Amino acid sequence: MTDNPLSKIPPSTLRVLVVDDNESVTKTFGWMLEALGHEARVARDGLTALAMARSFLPDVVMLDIGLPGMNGYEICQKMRAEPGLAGCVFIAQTGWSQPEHVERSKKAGFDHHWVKPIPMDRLEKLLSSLSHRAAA
Amino acid sequence: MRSATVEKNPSEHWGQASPPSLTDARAENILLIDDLPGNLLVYQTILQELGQNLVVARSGEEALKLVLKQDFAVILLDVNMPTMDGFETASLIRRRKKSASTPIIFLTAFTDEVGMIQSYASGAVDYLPTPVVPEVLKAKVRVFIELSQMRRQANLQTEERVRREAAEASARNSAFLVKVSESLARVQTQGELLRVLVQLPIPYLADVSIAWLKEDEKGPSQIECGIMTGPETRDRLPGLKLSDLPWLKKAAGEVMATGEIHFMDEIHRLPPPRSIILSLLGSAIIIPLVVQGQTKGCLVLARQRSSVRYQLDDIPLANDVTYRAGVVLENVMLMERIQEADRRKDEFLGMLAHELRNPLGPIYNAIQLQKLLEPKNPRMADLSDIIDRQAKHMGRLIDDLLDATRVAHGKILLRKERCDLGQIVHQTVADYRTVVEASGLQLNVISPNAPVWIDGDSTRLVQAIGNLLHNAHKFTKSGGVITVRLEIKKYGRLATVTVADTGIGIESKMLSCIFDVFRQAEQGLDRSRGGLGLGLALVKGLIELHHGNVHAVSAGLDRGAKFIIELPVQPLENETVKNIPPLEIPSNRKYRVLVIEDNQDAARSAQMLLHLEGHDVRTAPTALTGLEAARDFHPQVILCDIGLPEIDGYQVVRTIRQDVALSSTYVIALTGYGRQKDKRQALDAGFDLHLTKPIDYASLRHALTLADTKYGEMESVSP
Repeated sequence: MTDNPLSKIPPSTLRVLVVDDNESVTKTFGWMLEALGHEARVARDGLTALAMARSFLPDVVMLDIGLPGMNGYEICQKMRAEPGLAGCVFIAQTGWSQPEHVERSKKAGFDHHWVKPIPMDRLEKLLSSLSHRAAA
Repeated sequence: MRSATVEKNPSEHWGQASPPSLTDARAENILLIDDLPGNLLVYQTILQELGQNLVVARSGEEALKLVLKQDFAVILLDVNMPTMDGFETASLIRRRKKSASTPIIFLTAFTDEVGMIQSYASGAVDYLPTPVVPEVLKAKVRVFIELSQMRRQANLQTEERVRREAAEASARNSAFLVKVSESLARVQTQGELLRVLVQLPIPYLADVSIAWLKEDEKGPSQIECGIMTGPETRDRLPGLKLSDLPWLKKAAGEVMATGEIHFMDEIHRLPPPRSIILSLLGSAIIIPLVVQGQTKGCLVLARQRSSVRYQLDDIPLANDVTYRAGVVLENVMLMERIQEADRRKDEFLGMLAHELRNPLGPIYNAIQLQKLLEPKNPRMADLSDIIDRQAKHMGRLIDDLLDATRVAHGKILLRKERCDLGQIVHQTVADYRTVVEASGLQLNVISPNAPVWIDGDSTRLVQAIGNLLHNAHKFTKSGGVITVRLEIKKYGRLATVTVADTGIGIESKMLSCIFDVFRQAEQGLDRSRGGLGLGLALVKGLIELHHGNVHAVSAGLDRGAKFIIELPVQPLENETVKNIPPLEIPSNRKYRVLVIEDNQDAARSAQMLLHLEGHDVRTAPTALTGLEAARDFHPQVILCDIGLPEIDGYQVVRTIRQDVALSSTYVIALTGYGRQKDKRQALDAGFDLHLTKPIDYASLRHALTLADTKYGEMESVSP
């Protein structure tokens, strides 16, 4: 992004992996993260996401839950087991909002359970706190 | 004197226990039979003082008639009578059931031994020589009177005892049934009902009882056994299966099939396999459990070999128990159905929220990005496309939801006309071809060359076939094939549209219920394919409105699926046939358009869209400013919101229609409600067209093409 209109330039760039089978979601998140000054990669299924995570080594992974083949919970568990991804922050982004869904995300190893649609300032706030921490 | 003693104190004769006396007891009937009135008078005189009811007969025939009519304590019978003599009369009296044991005393002058033997043989109990000695006659008759009174007393006591016992049994039964009702009233589930039901009859009605509910759509059959384990204790035998009770299986099955009570006896003698329960049991009755005329299960009551076997008398009480259980079962089933529907509704609402949030995510993102990016950024166009696509997806979900509700409540009205099903199939396939092929699927369509005429609402049929195509697309992986085939069957009377795919298929247990509202194959939280599960319910509803039907066929998971719509074919008549209007060619006419809309965002976006197309647009926020603008601007097309403040859209259009200068304007109603009623109301008020908000580009263009038809001859306005 050359024309970043944000006044707050993050102190450090984060690597963010977005996994969603809906192309509109991955596309918009990708652009949004770029606009926020982070490096984004997108994947539309679990296997691609796992392979990508191993080489890309993201700081943050945003996972949709309802994915074809491997679902978001399984992907999260598998990524948690990757030594290279220690310290990575996992965000579940889903349409399910009941307490039992939040609980299930927690069990699968997610740090956050965010219900769609995700307000940009929320994402921005989390990433900004993470990048400050990374810079410190 | 012996007789005097008896007369003075009769009670002494019988002791304290039996108090009947000749004076206070009811008068007994005594029958006097003699052909000589003189004799009868003598006997009457002698016996009068006994205070009894003396009945006289002058012949054997007369006596027989009397004997039929009333009971006698004793009969005095003259042996020597004309026509029918004493012996004959006596034996006929004996033969009558009513008088078979009535004591008969013979009176005769001939006291020879032969006569005596003959009189005893013909049924006499005593024998008196005439002329009678009054004291002897009185004494003898008195004995029989007292005997009769005693018998009557004894009968009364027996009757009383039987009555008391019946009353006690009835009280016990009532108490038992009260307990049955109380216990059953607390039951909430079918399982609980069985557990309670098997314990209730023990020990009052049975030593062992078994309750059985047969399998239904809700689940497999359930069985519970209650058993007497000690004089005061009863237990359940949990985990029992019907296969453990082969002796019962057949009999119970028969009861289920016929709904009739079944008796069993000598159960311990039944052929092997033997079980402990079996060897203990003697007789049993199996009573059906009936809910609304349907046998849903049965209750088996069984007694030990040593107990009395069941009798017909046991049935009413057992029936009372199963009747009460049947009522409770009906309530429980109803409750379970309601709870199940409620649970499914909750699930559905959760899923609805989930499905609506999914497209909302990218819309939010795109809007945020539109704020972030420079207007000239090439990504801006992509963002609009995303919003457009996702908003349409949301709109479709909401439309499906509303349509499914309307179908479920029978509120969809079809606009039926003669149409060619082949054309409908081809149009639907054309609508879906781009999106299906973009997913790497092959889409084939096979149909006869000649038109297939049916009476139907083409829009709704496109929707139904489209839903099946949408489904096939959703559940078939890239590389698969979807085939739509139109065929004529049953000698041209039936048309079938088959949508076949090579996708994930349907489990056989799901086949019967996939057309139910809110039913979707279990996907759990990680559902990746989305959708509300309403599409198929909608297809079914729409096709049934067309007097057709739809069913699904699948060989199982990953074996593909076929959905088959059947519709009646209409014979071709010589009438003009309305076809589906061809795909619209975008209008090139430019209009003066007035938008009367109080919602500024809606007005502005309509203005922008129309302006982009080169039309001359003005907006007005109220009815009054709108009418003013109309008179000044002379628009060819007016888009008018219905829900305007103070003066609504209906009044606006009425005013326009009454104004000579404006009356021919093409006026389009805009409302948030797309119900048939709203549309009709709008057209009745004078609108040319009714559009449901939000207004998208396509429907606006469509509306303007319709306006073209009206303004066919009018000169276009240059922008």
